[in-house]
Amino acid sequence: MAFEPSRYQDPRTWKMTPAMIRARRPFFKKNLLGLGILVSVTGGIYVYTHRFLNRDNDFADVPIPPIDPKELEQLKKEYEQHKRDVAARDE
Amino acid sequence: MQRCILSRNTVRSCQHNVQKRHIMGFVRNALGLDPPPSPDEPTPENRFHPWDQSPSPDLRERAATIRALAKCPVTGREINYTCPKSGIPTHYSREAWENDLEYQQSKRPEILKKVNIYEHDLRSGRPFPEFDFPLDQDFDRMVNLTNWDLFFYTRGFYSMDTEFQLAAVTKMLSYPVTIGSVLHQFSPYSLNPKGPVTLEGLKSLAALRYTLYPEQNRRVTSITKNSPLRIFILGARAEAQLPGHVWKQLQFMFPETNIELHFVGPESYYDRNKREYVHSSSPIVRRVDETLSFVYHTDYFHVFHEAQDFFPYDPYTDIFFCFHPGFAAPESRENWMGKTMEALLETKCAVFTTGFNELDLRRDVGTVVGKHGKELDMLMEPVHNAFGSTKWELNDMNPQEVYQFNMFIAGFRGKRYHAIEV
Repeated sequence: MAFEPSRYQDPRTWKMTPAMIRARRPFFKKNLLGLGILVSVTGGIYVYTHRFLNRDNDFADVPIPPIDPKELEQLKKEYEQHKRDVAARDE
Repeated sequence: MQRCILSRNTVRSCQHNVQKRHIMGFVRNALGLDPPPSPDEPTPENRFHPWDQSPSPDLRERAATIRALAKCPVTGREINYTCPKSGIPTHYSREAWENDLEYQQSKRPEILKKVNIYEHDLRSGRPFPEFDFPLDQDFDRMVNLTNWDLFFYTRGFYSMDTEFQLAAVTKMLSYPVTIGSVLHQFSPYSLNPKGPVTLEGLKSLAALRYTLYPEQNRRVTSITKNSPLRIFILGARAEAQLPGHVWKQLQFMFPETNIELHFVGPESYYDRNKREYVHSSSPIVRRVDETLSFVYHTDYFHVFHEAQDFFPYDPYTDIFFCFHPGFAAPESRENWMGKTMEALLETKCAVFTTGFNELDLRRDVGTVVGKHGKELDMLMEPVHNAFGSTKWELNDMNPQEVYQFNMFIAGFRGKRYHAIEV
């Protein structure tokens, strides 16, 4: 019963028949308005969530500890040394 | 009208060959490879023939009747010219037709053309799958009574895609569905000032709906459940000849209710074998099934009223309908406005009446109010009937007078309380 093909669909093209379009006409505007509201609410939630999550501020709230100038000097030297080693090895 | 009613059995059998859907059909349609429409399919072009040269003999005869009876509106002479727009004889000559500017500028040529093509369509011999009416409604499916399209869709009728199919079916179903649309809880007629129903009208309809919907908001179940709903149809003519399965559509709208249809009037019972109206001293009863029966009373209403045949009247179970009675028409005024109208108002039950057009109905209601204005309450102001016939008809005496059956509807009732002079 429930799976009987509807008489209000063209059996060949599956389109709504003119009778069904006439029957749906009084509801067309309100249905379209309802669709608009539903789509804008869901779309709005998606857009808001996307913007909120894709803001590039990971670890922005983690404080970076202050660094000693001497230690910085030492680290820079080590880094330069490492770069030279790599370059020498490649040749 | 009877010519187009197919027998019930042939109609039922075509429901079984349910068509399958093929994916190729969908693809072909998407590519625009539509096959040409079948010649059986009615279109305004292939149904148009001037009535004088009509392929069907009875329409040629009808054209001859118009020529014999009607007079040209311009010259006042006999009709001798067929309007080329509508194919119906309307004027004396081509000059008269050209000079009738009022006619040319009105919508009447198009409406007359519709009269023409609808009549030819009924005689075309095409298959009529739309007369395959649905059976009872599932409990979880509501009926929408806003207009014909929604009624057909929610009841699961055949998909009527063209005006031809609508015209054929609505002419027949107009009578039962008009009654149903007034009584139904989802009636399209709402209370004043939003709709045509007056406060008194709501009182009458509420009483009837109390009987029709016994389970709704009811702390005490009433004992009226066992007595059937009596619908009196006064001055019954064509509606009394509709077959049982057409009136059954009214019963399907109220599945819990037993309905008795009382056709009252000297032309209410037509014997098809003898081809005459039968007069019988006792009512003729015909049962359609256990929930619906027809009772034919072949005399005027006041005769039975005076003999107390219908007594007691109960506004909870009784309702009266007059389909195009012509209260004001000169040929029927005598019959209606005398004892019949007095009897009708004495019953204190709701009376609904329809007219061929707004003027016709307003004249009818005006006549009743003029004579019995102090003894009656209006229940429903004259309003366009949502379930009137969509088939256009013409008057043979004056082919420019076009109408539809049950186009307008109104309601009144005898006052239920004594009028006190202040």
